[in-house]
Amino acid sequence: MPKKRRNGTPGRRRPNLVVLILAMAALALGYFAFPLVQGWLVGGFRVNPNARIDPEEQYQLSFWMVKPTVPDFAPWQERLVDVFNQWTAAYPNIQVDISYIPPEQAAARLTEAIAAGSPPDVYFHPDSAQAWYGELQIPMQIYLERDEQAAIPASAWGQAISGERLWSLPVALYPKVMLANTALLQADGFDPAEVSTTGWKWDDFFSVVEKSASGSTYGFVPTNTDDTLLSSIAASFGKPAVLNAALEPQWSNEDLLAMAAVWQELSQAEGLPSPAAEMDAECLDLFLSKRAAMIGPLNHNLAYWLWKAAIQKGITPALLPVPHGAEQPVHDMQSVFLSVFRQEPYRGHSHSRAAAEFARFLRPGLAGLLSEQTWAVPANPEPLASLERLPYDAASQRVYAAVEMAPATPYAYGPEPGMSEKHWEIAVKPAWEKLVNGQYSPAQFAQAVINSLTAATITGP
Amino acid sequence: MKKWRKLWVLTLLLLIGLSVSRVYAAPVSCDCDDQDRIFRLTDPPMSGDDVVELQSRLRALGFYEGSLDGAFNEPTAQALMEFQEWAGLAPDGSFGPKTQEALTMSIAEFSVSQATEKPPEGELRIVINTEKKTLTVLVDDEVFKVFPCAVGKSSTKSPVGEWRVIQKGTHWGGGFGTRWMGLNVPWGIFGIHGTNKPGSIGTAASHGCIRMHNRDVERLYPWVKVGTRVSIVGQYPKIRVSYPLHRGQSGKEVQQLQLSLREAGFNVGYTDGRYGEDTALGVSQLQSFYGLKPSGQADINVLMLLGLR
Repeated sequence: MPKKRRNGTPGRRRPNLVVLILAMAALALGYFAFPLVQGWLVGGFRVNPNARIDPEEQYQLSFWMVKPTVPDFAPWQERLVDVFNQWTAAYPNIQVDISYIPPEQAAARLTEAIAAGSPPDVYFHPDSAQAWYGELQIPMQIYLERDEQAAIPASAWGQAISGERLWSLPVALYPKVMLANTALLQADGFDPAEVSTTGWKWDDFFSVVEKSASGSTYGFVPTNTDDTLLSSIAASFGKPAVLNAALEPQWSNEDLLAMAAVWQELSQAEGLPSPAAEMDAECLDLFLSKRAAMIGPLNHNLAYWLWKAAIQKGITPALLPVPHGAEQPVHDMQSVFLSVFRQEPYRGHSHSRAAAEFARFLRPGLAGLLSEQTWAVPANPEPLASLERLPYDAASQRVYAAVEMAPATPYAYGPEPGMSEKHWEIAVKPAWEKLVNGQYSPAQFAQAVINSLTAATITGP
Repeated sequence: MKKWRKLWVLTLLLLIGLSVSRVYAAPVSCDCDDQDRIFRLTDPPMSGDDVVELQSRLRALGFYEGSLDGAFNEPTAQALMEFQEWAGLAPDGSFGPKTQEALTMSIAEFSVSQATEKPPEGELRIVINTEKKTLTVLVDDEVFKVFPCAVGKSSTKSPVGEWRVIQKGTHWGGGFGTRWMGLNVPWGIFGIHGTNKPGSIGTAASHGCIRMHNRDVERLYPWVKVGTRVSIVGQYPKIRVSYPLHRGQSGKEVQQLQLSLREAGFNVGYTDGRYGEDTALGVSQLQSFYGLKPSGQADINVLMLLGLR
């Protein structure tokens, strides 16, 4: 007769314990191994975000920064050296080779590098809104902690995503604004302060323009009539790019007709200079000599210059948002990004981790630099705190830094570097010029853009 | 007795008058850079840098063997008479305008045939500093030689900017000395040349040209080719530009536009007063920087942004 065992079946407890241990080991193995095999399982390369930087290993990263279109790059370089020195002090085993790329070469060089499988580890273009560059790009979202993700403004996040993933890190945003001579703005019920927080629609804008115009004063003078104006109009409808992140047409025929209608109104409204195609010819002189109540849209450089010039001329200025055509208020503000790449052959997950750490480290320093040198609005929850050097009053500052009201959709798309700029040049700019010159009706403009864009995307890029 | 007294007083007065006139007579050594002196034998002898120049030229031509002491003395006058005779002029020993011109021409022909100094190797350019009155020759951006020069006076300043040599000549003579190197300044005829007023070197004395000692310009001349870059640096009074500028135009207003664009940090190539593609590119870069239409034409908006209007 077998010996009866006390307390149930301790002989079977051992196998249960073994099974438990084996199961835990399998889970742990799966946790670390799954990212590595997921690509094989589901297709596509997957980077392991949990890889650690080995403090004993030496890493070599490449950083490409496209030189900004600024008159003097020397102050930028000095500040960047400070940031790089801080990095070296914090991560002495991770050396970064820095290249400053001339802007006219940026798209071609990055395209070539990606095609050769050797893009830089980290890439920053201070004048480009492109956030997605295709297969070799590493989605930065996988490296961000939850609080870091929450700290990115929703609009900047929306401008950086493709396929529902955040690919590049938003660094800062550049607003476009209008400038008003408050003494010349006379309209019943019009309160510039209210507009600064709620935004205003194009219809409201034209109403104010007409009421503010008098025999010797224009209600509004645009700073340009070329496709730069169209880009602001498109952003005002919440659709700054012709294609969305999935490379599907974002502009419908109705959208294009609506954009053309804004131009038609501008060209025919009372209270604007003529002829329409040359309305911008003396815009600065008209505003500063107090012969125009409003001027715009202004980029960050022109807003700063014109504000100070207006003060010198005894004008009391106020920044106003560019009118919008969307259902909800939207301000024209586009982001610039830090992007991280991998190379082929792959240099390892810890190498990618090092590159991502460098990008995360660089982000606040770059945001501060852009804010100081170009009055960009940092993509952080409290942008106003970084804009002390701006000369604007409180209400104007709020308009300028209204990050939460920027379109949450990309201003540019990829994957090829400069792709959206090329489409714009081919499909949009020529049609807009013909609309402005009176050669196209709004319907012809809309059809021309759709046809050209279809042709450009089929024959690509 | 009264008659003798009167005579004595008159003689005394005459002697006093002569002494005073001698004290206040024009010095025989003159550094007046705007006067063309006619040399003649005097006691004490006439002296100065211009006499040194004369002795140097006569020695180069083989007529004078004495020292370059700057004194128009007997040997110098003798050498001058021999030159005059050789040149078919009246050998009166005085260095008047005709003798000056003949000497200048002779030296020009002589120097061209005698130039033996090897030009420096490398890319040569010239920088003229109107404040310091120096002409610096740079070879591959290293200082090769510095010469003193004279620049434009305040009413006729030398053209500050970046130019090129477009013409070379050896027989201009007179106030242009033994060599001439013309510059491509669009609003006038300006150049680097020698002089018959060596005392003016180191001062602001010309009508805008750059004067050098003849011995220096003769040395510089073979080094310089047509197309050599010449920068004239100095104070440039900002001028207002009241009308738009565009491609194809030239003049001081265009140069002011170029200088202002460069000051603002935009590359315009050379500030030569010519509105070419480089200038248009600089203008369009400024326009793009401010979000304006990049037409490349310096319209009213551009002029206002640069503070020119």
